[in-house]
Amino acid sequence: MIQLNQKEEIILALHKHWIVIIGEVLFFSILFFTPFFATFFSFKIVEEYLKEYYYLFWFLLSIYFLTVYMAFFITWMNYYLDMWVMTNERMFYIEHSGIFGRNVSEFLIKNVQDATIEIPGMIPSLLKYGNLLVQTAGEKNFLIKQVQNPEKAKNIIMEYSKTANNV
Amino acid sequence: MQTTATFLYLIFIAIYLFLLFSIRSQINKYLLPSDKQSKNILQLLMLGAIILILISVFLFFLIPWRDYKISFNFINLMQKATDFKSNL
Repeated sequence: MIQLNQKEEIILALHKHWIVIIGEVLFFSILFFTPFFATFFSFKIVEEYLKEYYYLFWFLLSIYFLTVYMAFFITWMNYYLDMWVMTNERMFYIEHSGIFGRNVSEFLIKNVQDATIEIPGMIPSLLKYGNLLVQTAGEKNFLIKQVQNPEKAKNIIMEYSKTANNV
Repeated sequence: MQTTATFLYLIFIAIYLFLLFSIRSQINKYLLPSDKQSKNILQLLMLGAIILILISVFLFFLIPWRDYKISFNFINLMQKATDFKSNL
Protein backbone atom coordinates (compact mmCIF):
# COMPACT_ATOMS: atom_id res chain seq x y z
CA MET A 1 0.00 0.00 0.00
CA ILE A 2 1.19 3.51 -0.80
CA GLN A 3 2.03 5.55 2.28
CA LEU A 4 0.89 9.12 1.81
CA ASN A 5 2.18 12.11 3.74
CA GLN A 6 -0.16 14.26 5.83
CA LYS A 7 -1.00 16.86 3.19
CA GLU A 8 -0.70 14.47 0.28
CA GLU A 9 -3.76 13.40 -1.66
CA ILE A 10 -4.36 11.21 -4.69
CA ILE A 11 -5.12 13.21 -7.81
CA LEU A 12 -4.95 10.67 -10.57
CA ALA A 13 -4.83 6.89 -10.87
CA LEU A 14 -4.04 5.54 -14.31
CA HIS A 15 -4.59 1.99 -15.43
CA LYS A 16 -3.76 0.41 -18.72
CA HIS A 17 -6.55 0.62 -21.30
CA TRP A 18 -9.07 -2.24 -21.33
CA ILE A 19 -7.98 -3.13 -24.87
CA VAL A 20 -4.77 -4.54 -23.31
CA ILE A 21 -6.70 -7.23 -21.46
CA ILE A 22 -9.42 -7.87 -24.06
CA GLY A 23 -7.24 -10.35 -26.00
CA GLU A 24 -6.55 -12.33 -22.84
CA VAL A 25 -10.23 -12.24 -21.86
CA LEU A 26 -11.15 -13.66 -25.28
CA PHE A 27 -8.47 -16.34 -25.00
CA PHE A 28 -9.70 -17.45 -21.57
CA SER A 29 -13.33 -17.30 -22.71
CA ILE A 30 -12.50 -19.69 -25.56
CA LEU A 31 -10.63 -21.99 -23.17
CA PHE A 32 -13.51 -21.87 -20.72
CA PHE A 33 -16.53 -22.23 -22.98
CA THR A 34 -15.26 -24.50 -25.78
CA PRO A 35 -15.21 -27.75 -23.72
CA PHE A 36 -18.50 -26.75 -22.12
CA PHE A 37 -20.33 -26.28 -25.42
CA ALA A 38 -18.55 -29.21 -27.06
CA THR A 39 -19.81 -31.48 -24.28
CA PHE A 40 -23.24 -29.90 -24.31
CA PHE A 41 -23.72 -30.50 -28.04
CA SER A 42 -22.29 -34.02 -27.96
CA PHE A 43 -24.08 -34.94 -24.76
CA LYS A 44 -25.46 -38.25 -26.08
CA ILE A 45 -22.06 -39.37 -27.32
CA VAL A 46 -20.51 -38.57 -23.94
CA GLU A 47 -23.31 -40.38 -22.15
CA GLU A 48 -23.02 -43.44 -24.38
CA TYR A 49 -19.25 -43.86 -24.63
CA LEU A 50 -18.34 -42.77 -21.12
CA LYS A 51 -20.94 -44.78 -19.29
CA GLU A 52 -18.58 -46.04 -16.67
CA TYR A 53 -16.58 -42.82 -16.39
CA TYR A 54 -19.44 -40.39 -16.81
CA TYR A 55 -19.09 -38.59 -13.48
CA LEU A 56 -15.31 -38.83 -13.59
CA PHE A 57 -15.41 -37.02 -16.92
CA TRP A 58 -17.50 -34.19 -15.48
CA PHE A 59 -15.29 -34.03 -12.42
CA LEU A 60 -12.12 -33.71 -14.52
CA LEU A 61 -13.87 -31.07 -16.59
CA SER A 62 -14.64 -29.12 -13.41
CA ILE A 63 -10.94 -29.29 -12.44
CA TYR A 64 -10.09 -27.91 -15.88
CA PHE A 65 -12.61 -25.07 -15.43
CA LEU A 66 -11.16 -24.26 -12.01
CA THR A 67 -7.65 -24.06 -13.47
CA VAL A 68 -8.69 -21.80 -16.35
CA TYR A 69 -10.67 -19.62 -13.94
CA MET A 70 -7.65 -19.22 -11.68
CA ALA A 71 -5.40 -18.30 -14.63
CA PHE A 72 -7.94 -15.66 -15.68
CA PHE A 73 -8.17 -14.34 -12.12
CA ILE A 74 -4.37 -13.92 -11.93
CA THR A 75 -4.32 -12.19 -15.34
CA TRP A 76 -7.04 -9.75 -14.27
CA MET A 77 -5.20 -9.06 -11.01
CA ASN A 78 -1.96 -8.32 -12.87
CA TYR A 79 -3.79 -6.00 -15.22
CA TYR A 80 -5.60 -4.18 -12.46
CA LEU A 81 -2.76 -3.76 -10.00
CA ASP A 82 -0.41 -2.34 -12.65
CA MET A 83 -1.03 1.36 -12.23
CA TRP A 84 0.26 4.86 -12.05
CA VAL A 85 -0.79 6.91 -9.07
CA MET A 86 -0.24 10.61 -8.97
CA THR A 87 -0.51 12.63 -5.80
CA ASN A 88 0.05 16.36 -5.40
CA GLU A 89 3.67 15.61 -4.37
CA ARG A 90 4.78 12.35 -5.96
CA MET A 91 4.12 9.90 -8.72
CA PHE A 92 4.18 6.14 -8.26
CA TYR A 93 4.58 3.45 -10.85
CA ILE A 94 3.38 0.10 -9.54
CA GLU A 95 4.03 -3.04 -11.51
CA HIS A 96 2.57 -6.32 -10.34
CA SER A 97 3.85 -9.67 -11.55
CA GLY A 98 2.37 -13.04 -10.66
CA ILE A 99 0.48 -13.15 -7.36
CA PHE A 100 3.10 -11.82 -4.97
CA GLY A 101 5.64 -9.95 -7.15
CA ARG A 102 5.53 -6.17 -6.92
CA ASN A 103 7.77 -3.38 -8.13
CA VAL A 104 7.14 0.21 -7.02
CA SER A 105 9.01 3.25 -8.39
CA GLU A 106 8.35 6.81 -7.34
CA PHE A 107 9.54 10.28 -8.15
CA LEU A 108 8.71 13.81 -7.04
CA ILE A 109 6.34 15.84 -9.17
CA LYS A 110 8.66 18.83 -8.93
CA ASN A 111 11.35 16.78 -10.74
CA VAL A 112 9.18 16.34 -13.83
CA GLN A 113 10.76 18.19 -16.73
CA ASP A 114 8.72 17.07 -19.69
CA ALA A 115 5.84 14.79 -20.62
CA THR A 116 5.35 13.40 -24.11
CA ILE A 117 2.43 11.42 -25.46
CA GLU A 118 2.42 9.02 -28.38
CA ILE A 119 -0.76 7.71 -29.98
CA PRO A 120 0.43 5.08 -32.46
CA GLY A 121 -2.24 4.57 -35.12
CA MET A 122 -5.95 4.61 -35.78
CA ILE A 123 -7.24 2.20 -33.12
CA PRO A 124 -5.45 3.93 -30.22
CA SER A 125 -6.73 7.24 -31.57
CA LEU A 126 -10.33 5.97 -31.68
CA LEU A 127 -10.17 4.26 -28.31
CA LYS A 128 -8.25 7.13 -26.72
CA TYR A 129 -5.19 5.35 -25.41
CA GLY A 130 -1.47 5.70 -25.96
CA ASN A 131 1.98 5.87 -24.43
CA LEU A 132 3.05 8.57 -22.04
CA LEU A 133 6.71 9.35 -21.45
CA VAL A 134 7.59 11.36 -18.36
CA GLN A 135 11.11 12.76 -18.21
CA THR A 136 12.47 13.63 -14.81
CA ALA A 137 15.48 15.61 -13.58
CA GLY A 138 17.12 12.31 -12.68
CA GLU A 139 18.51 9.93 -15.25
CA LYS A 140 15.50 7.70 -15.36
CA ASN A 141 12.56 8.28 -17.67
CA PHE A 142 9.19 6.71 -17.02
CA LEU A 143 7.20 5.23 -19.86
CA ILE A 144 3.55 4.42 -19.30
CA LYS A 145 2.38 2.11 -22.05
CA GLN A 146 -1.18 1.82 -23.38
CA VAL A 147 -2.65 4.16 -20.83
CA GLN A 148 -6.17 5.57 -20.90
CA ASN A 149 -6.58 9.24 -21.86
CA PRO A 150 -2.84 10.06 -22.12
CA GLU A 151 -3.53 13.65 -23.14
CA LYS A 152 -5.57 14.40 -20.04
CA ALA A 153 -2.95 12.70 -17.88
CA LYS A 154 -0.16 14.69 -19.49
CA ASN A 155 -1.96 17.98 -18.90
CA ILE A 156 -2.57 17.16 -15.24
CA ILE A 157 1.05 16.07 -14.70
CA MET A 158 2.42 19.23 -16.31
CA GLU A 159 -0.01 21.45 -14.42
CA TYR A 160 1.04 20.01 -11.06
CA SER A 161 4.69 20.05 -12.03
CA LYS A 162 4.49 23.76 -12.83
CA THR A 163 2.65 24.43 -9.56
CA ALA A 164 5.30 22.47 -7.63
CA ASN A 165 8.11 24.45 -9.31
CA ASN A 166 6.23 27.78 -8.96
CA VAL A 167 6.41 28.44 -12.71
CA MET B 1 -7.97 -45.66 -5.83
CA GLN B 2 -10.40 -43.65 -3.73
CA THR B 3 -7.76 -42.82 -1.11
CA THR B 4 -5.25 -41.70 -3.72
CA ALA B 5 -7.86 -39.62 -5.54
CA THR B 6 -9.09 -38.03 -2.31
CA PHE B 7 -5.54 -37.22 -1.26
CA LEU B 8 -4.67 -35.64 -4.62
CA TYR B 9 -7.95 -33.75 -4.73
CA LEU B 10 -7.47 -32.38 -1.21
CA ILE B 11 -4.00 -31.13 -2.15
CA PHE B 12 -5.43 -29.48 -5.27
CA ILE B 13 -8.24 -27.79 -3.33
CA ALA B 14 -5.84 -26.64 -0.59
CA ILE B 15 -3.48 -25.05 -3.15
CA TYR B 16 -6.43 -23.54 -5.00
CA LEU B 17 -7.91 -21.99 -1.87
CA PHE B 18 -4.49 -20.69 -0.83
CA LEU B 19 -4.04 -18.98 -4.21
CA LEU B 20 -7.59 -17.67 -4.18
CA PHE B 21 -7.31 -16.04 -0.77
CA SER B 22 -3.80 -14.79 -1.53
CA ILE B 23 -5.16 -12.99 -4.60
CA ARG B 24 -8.01 -11.59 -2.54
CA SER B 25 -5.71 -10.30 0.18
CA GLN B 26 -3.24 -8.84 -2.35
CA ILE B 27 -6.00 -6.98 -4.19
CA ASN B 28 -7.56 -5.70 -0.96
CA LYS B 29 -4.14 -4.61 0.24
CA TYR B 30 -3.08 -2.70 -2.85
CA LEU B 31 -6.32 -1.41 -4.30
CA LEU B 32 -6.94 2.29 -3.89
CA PRO B 33 -9.60 3.11 -1.26
CA SER B 34 -11.69 5.00 -3.80
CA ASP B 35 -11.92 2.04 -6.15
CA LYS B 36 -15.29 0.53 -5.26
CA GLN B 37 -16.05 -0.93 -8.70
CA SER B 38 -13.04 -3.25 -8.52
CA LYS B 39 -14.10 -4.47 -5.10
CA ASN B 40 -17.41 -5.55 -6.63
CA ILE B 41 -15.59 -7.31 -9.50
CA LEU B 42 -13.36 -9.04 -6.94
CA GLN B 43 -16.37 -10.24 -4.94
CA LEU B 44 -17.99 -11.52 -8.13
CA LEU B 45 -14.84 -13.42 -9.13
CA MET B 46 -14.52 -14.91 -5.63
CA LEU B 47 -18.15 -16.00 -5.74
CA GLY B 48 -17.60 -17.63 -9.15
CA ALA B 49 -14.57 -19.52 -7.85
CA ILE B 50 -16.43 -20.75 -4.76
CA ILE B 51 -19.39 -21.93 -6.88
CA LEU B 52 -16.98 -23.81 -9.18
CA ILE B 53 -15.26 -25.42 -6.17
CA LEU B 54 -18.63 -26.52 -4.75
CA ILE B 55 -19.64 -28.02 -8.11
CA SER B 56 -16.30 -29.82 -8.25
CA VAL B 57 -16.71 -31.20 -4.70
CA PHE B 58 -20.26 -32.32 -5.52
CA LEU B 59 -19.03 -34.14 -8.65
CA PHE B 60 -16.20 -35.73 -6.70
CA PHE B 61 -18.69 -37.38 -4.36
CA LEU B 62 -20.81 -38.59 -7.28
CA ILE B 63 -17.97 -40.64 -8.75
CA PRO B 64 -18.28 -44.36 -7.97
CA TRP B 65 -14.58 -44.70 -7.03
CA ARG B 66 -14.96 -48.28 -5.79
CA ASP B 67 -16.04 -49.46 -9.24
CA TYR B 68 -12.77 -48.37 -10.76
CA LYS B 69 -10.18 -51.04 -10.79
CA ILE B 70 -7.32 -48.90 -12.01
CA SER B 71 -4.50 -49.06 -9.53
CA PHE B 72 -1.78 -46.45 -9.32
CA ASN B 73 0.63 -48.73 -7.57
CA PHE B 74 4.07 -47.27 -8.08
CA ILE B 75 5.93 -50.53 -7.36
CA ASN B 76 3.80 -52.42 -9.91
CA LEU B 77 4.38 -49.66 -12.40
CA MET B 78 8.15 -49.84 -11.92
CA GLN B 79 8.02 -53.64 -12.22
CA LYS B 80 6.08 -53.34 -15.48
CA ALA B 81 8.63 -50.81 -16.78
CA THR B 82 11.49 -53.16 -15.86
CA ASP B 83 9.76 -56.09 -17.57
CA PHE B 84 9.17 -54.00 -20.65
CA LYS B 85 12.86 -53.00 -20.75
CA SER B 86 14.07 -56.57 -20.31
CA ASN B 87 11.75 -57.73 -23.11
CA LEU B 88 13.38 -55.21 -25.39
